[in-house]
Amino acid sequence: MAEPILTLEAVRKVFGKFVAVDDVTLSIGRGEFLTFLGPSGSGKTTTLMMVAGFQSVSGGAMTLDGKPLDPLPAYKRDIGMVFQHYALFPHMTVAGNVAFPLEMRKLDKAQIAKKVRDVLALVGLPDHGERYPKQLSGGQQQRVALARAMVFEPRLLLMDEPLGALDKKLREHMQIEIMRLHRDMGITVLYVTHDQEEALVMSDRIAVFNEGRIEQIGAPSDLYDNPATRFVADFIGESNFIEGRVTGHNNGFAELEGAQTLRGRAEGNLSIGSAAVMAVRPERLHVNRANDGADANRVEGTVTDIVYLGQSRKFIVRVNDQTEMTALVQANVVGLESVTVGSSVSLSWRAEDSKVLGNT
Amino acid sequence: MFAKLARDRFAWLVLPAGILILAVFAYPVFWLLVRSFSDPSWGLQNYETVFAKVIYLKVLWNTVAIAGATTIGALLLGFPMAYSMVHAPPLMRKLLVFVVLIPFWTSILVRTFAWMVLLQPNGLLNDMLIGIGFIETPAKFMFNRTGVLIGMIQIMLPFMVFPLFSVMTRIDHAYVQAAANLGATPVKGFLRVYLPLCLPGIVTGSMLVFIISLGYFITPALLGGRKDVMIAQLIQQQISDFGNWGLSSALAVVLLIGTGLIFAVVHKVFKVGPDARF
Ligand SMILES: Nc1ncnc2c1ncn2[C@@H]1O[C@H](COP(=O)(O)OP(=O)(O)OP(=O)(O)O)[C@@H](O)[C@H]1O
Ligand SMILES: [Mg+2]
Repeated sequence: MAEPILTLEAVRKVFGKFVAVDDVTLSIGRGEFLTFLGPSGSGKTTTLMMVAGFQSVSGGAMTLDGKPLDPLPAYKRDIGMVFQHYALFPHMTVAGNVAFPLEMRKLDKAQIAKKVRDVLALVGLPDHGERYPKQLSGGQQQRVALARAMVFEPRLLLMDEPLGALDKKLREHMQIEIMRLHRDMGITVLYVTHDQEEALVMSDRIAVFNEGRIEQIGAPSDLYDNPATRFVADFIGESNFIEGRVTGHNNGFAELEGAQTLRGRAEGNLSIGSAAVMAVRPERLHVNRANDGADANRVEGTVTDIVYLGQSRKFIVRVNDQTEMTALVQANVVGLESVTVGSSVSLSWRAEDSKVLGNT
Repeated sequence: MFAKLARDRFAWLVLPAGILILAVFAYPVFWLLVRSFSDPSWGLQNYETVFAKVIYLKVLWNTVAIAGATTIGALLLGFPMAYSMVHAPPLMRKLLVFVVLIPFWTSILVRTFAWMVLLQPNGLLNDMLIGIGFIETPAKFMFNRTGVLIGMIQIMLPFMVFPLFSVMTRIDHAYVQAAANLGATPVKGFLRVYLPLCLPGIVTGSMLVFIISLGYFITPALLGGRKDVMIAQLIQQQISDFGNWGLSSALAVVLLIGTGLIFAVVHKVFKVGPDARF
C-alpha cells in the first residue's frame, strides 16, 4: 500500500451507554478507494462523521498526513464530503455552490471562475452554472455535490451513500463516473455504502462493518475468496454453510466433522474440537447424479427447486433436515438434463474451494 | 366534471368567512373611503390636511419609526430565542414554546399595566438598577419612546419568534455541516448559509410585527409620551374628541394603503410565497 494518508487507531464512539463504533483500526493509502460496507446501523456513518469532524471521538486516535486530526475543527480539516442528500445550498446557484469552498479559501475571482468552469465541465455540467439546485435532476445534483467536494482539491474525499437516492440505472452510470474521476484526479476516497455489489465494483479495498466493528478489511477478491468470518462470507456474495466440529488441522486445511467429514482451507487459529462452519460459494458446487462426483467433499441430497436464470441455473438441494444448499450451474454444463425436482443428487466441491471458519 | 363539481361545492365552504369579512371589514372600509372624500363636504380637503399639516406628518413618521424600531428590536431578541428553541432538547423546547405563548393568554391591557408597574420611577426595574448601583436617580422608562418600545417589543415578540421557529426547524443540519466541511468558519457559515436560509422567516416575522405595530394603540397610549403619538391614537382622538370623521377616515385610508404598499413591495423583492426561489 502507498504511504498512509489517514489512519484510525482503536477509534471508538459511545452514545450514552450504546457503543456505536468500537476498536476501529485502519489506514488508507494515498490515492486509494476504500469502502465501508455493512448493514444498517453498523457504524459506517458515525465513523465517517468522526473523520469529517462532526462527531467527537470517544476513544482512540486519528491522523491525517501524519498529524493528529482531533484538535482540528471540521472547517480546518480540508476533507471534502458528499452528503447523502447532497446538502447543496438551495439559495445559491450551482456555480455559487461550487465556488463556496474556494471563496472560503480566499482565492481570487478569476481563479475561482476558472476552477468552477473546469470542474463543472469535468462532471459534465458545463452549462448549468446559473441554475439553482432545485432546477436540477437527482443525478445532476449528485454531480454538483461531487464537483463542490472536489474543487478545492481536498486531501481526502468522503462519500456517504452518495448514490442511495438514485435509481438503479443512474446509480450504475454514476458508479463508473466516480471511478473515472477517482482514477483521473488521483483523489483518496473513503466511500460508504450498504450495497455490496457497489462496493465490489468500485473499491480498491473494502472494510466490512458489523455492529460497530470491522470484521475484515481487504481487496474485493480477497473478501470474496477468503472471508475471515461467517458474517463476511454471508454478507459478501452468497454462501452455503455447513456446521460441524473441527477434528483435524494441518497445512492450511481443516477437517470438519458433521453429518459427514469435509475438508476445507482454514486459518491457523482454529482449535481442534471447536465448533466451526464450512462456507462454500454456490458456483463452486458441482451437481452430480447420486453417489457420483470425484471431488474431496461430497454430500447427498434431494433437489427441491430449480431456478432458471438464463445463462445459469440454480439448484436448491436439501442435504439434511437443517441444511439446504444452493448450487449455481452454468447453462453450458451438460449431463444434468434428467435432474428434476425430487431427483436424488450429490453435490461435490474441492477442498480449496471451501473455507472452514470459526462459528461464533 | 366531478373535479369541477367538487371545486364548486368546496367553494361554498368559504361563504361564512366571506360574509363575515364582507360585513365587518369590506363594508366599513368602503364606508371610510367614501367618508374621507365626503365629510364634511365632497373633495380632497381631508387628504390635503393630512399631508399638509406638520403635526399629522409627524404622527405618520412616528408611526413608521416606532413600528420599524419595534420590528428591529423584536428581530434582535427573537432570532436567538427561536434559535435556542430549535436547538434545545425536547423538554426544554416545549418549555420555551410555552414561555413565548404565555403573553397570548393575558390581555394586552393587563400586560401594559404590568409594564407600568415595572417601569415607573419607583418601580421594580429602577429599584433594581439603583440597588446594584448602576444608576443613582430613577431613570425615565415611561411616557417616552423607551417605554413604548419596551412594551411593544415584548408584545410583538411571539409574532417574530414563531415564523422564525417554523423556518429554522426545517433547515437541515447538513447545510451547516456542509458549510463547515467546505472550510467556512462558524461565523462565515452562519452569515453565508444559515442566515440566508432563515430569510423567509425573517421576512414573514418582520412583516407581521411591522404591520401590526403600524396600527397599534393601547401600548403607545399608556406607555408613551406626547411625542410618541401613533396614527391609531390620532384617529381615536379625532373621532372621540372632535367628531372629525372625515379626517379620521382619511388617516385610516392612508394607513391601509401604506400597509398594502409595503406588503406588496416586500412580497415582490423577497419573492416569499409560491414562487419563492427556495
Ligand atoms: N447521535 C446519535 N445518538 C445516538 N445514537 C446514534 C447517534 N448517531 C448514530 N447512532 C446509533 O449508532 C449506530 C450506528 O449508526 P450509523 O449511522 O453510523 O449507522 P450506519 O452504518 O451509517 O447505518 P446506515 O447504513 O443505516 O446509514 C446506530 O445504531 C445508531 O442508532
Ligand atoms: Mg449511514
